[in-house]
Amino acid sequence: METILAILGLIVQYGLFVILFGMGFFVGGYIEKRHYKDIHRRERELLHLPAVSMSWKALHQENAYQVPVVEARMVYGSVVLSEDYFKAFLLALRTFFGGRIVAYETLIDRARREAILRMKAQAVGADIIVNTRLDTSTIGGGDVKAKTTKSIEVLAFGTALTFQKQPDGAA
Amino acid sequence: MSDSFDAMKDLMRKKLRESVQSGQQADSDPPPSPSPQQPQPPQQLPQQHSPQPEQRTAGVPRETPEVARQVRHHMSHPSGMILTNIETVPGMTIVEHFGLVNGSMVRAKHVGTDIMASLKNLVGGELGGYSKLLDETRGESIDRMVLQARQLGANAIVNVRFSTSSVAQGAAELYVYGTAVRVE
Repeated sequence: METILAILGLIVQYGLFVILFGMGFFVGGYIEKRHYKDIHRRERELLHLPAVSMSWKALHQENAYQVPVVEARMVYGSVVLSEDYFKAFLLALRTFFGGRIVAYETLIDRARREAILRMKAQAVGADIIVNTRLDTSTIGGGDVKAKTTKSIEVLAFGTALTFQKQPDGAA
Repeated sequence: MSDSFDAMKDLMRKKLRESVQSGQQADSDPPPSPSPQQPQPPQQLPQQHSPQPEQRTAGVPRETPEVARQVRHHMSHPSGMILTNIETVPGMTIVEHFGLVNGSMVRAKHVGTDIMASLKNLVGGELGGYSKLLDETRGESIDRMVLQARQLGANAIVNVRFSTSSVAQGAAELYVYGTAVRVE
């Protein structure tokens, strides 16, 4: 009788952890894989609209970019991504032993690329986005000890330029 | 401040509607008559800044994407303010500097969104509620900055920067600043 109670106690104590752990591993992994697939597809579609980190002055020195600009406007895109339970566990493990945390590298990589894609989606009809800047911040997880939502926000912003169309259609 | 801000927003929406209608349906519909209680501010918008847009549309029918792009040219912001995050506005020259303008806003989502976010935190992925919160707040901060620049008599803001900070659990402060200038 006492052994059964002990086993029940163990299940109650660790069962929730195991369920959350498995959910984080399987569902989180699936979400990440699907997101990467989506990012790759949209990046291919938006290849004609490059986002460069140079300022317009530096770019204007080059021969290819001496066309008159007819439109300049600021575009921005942002995304808030959250870690999953499995990643949080890996982080706790890694902060103990030290070393690379690949799970968080992919998380931040996804957020940055998504933000750039959303910025590009705002720049419909433009030819190039110059002076692209990326800004990362964590929200809701100020206190390390508190078990609160840890999520990262990435903001991408830049200036979308539209060049004057050449009469012969060369540009 | 808040009264003039609301009035400003109404004005922006009205002008946006008018510019879209006059740009796209000028052939079919008569332009809407401006309401008498809303006096139009003096226009210093870049309507006549360069001859290039006119050259582009010469002989082009009205409903092409080309024209839609033309309309957008004057609508970087619904008020007509041009925003860039580089030092200049390409294709125009800066004739006057007005100094720094800024806008900031602190906002929080209701507790339901916070609970949903903490549930989503178990499986990962995008926190849609927070994404939307930050996007809306950023838009409003830009509106405030534009209002300030307008009161100074500027028609463009260059070198715009953003900054985000979380002041409390579930609340975010969005700060945006730039240099107000007049371009021609």
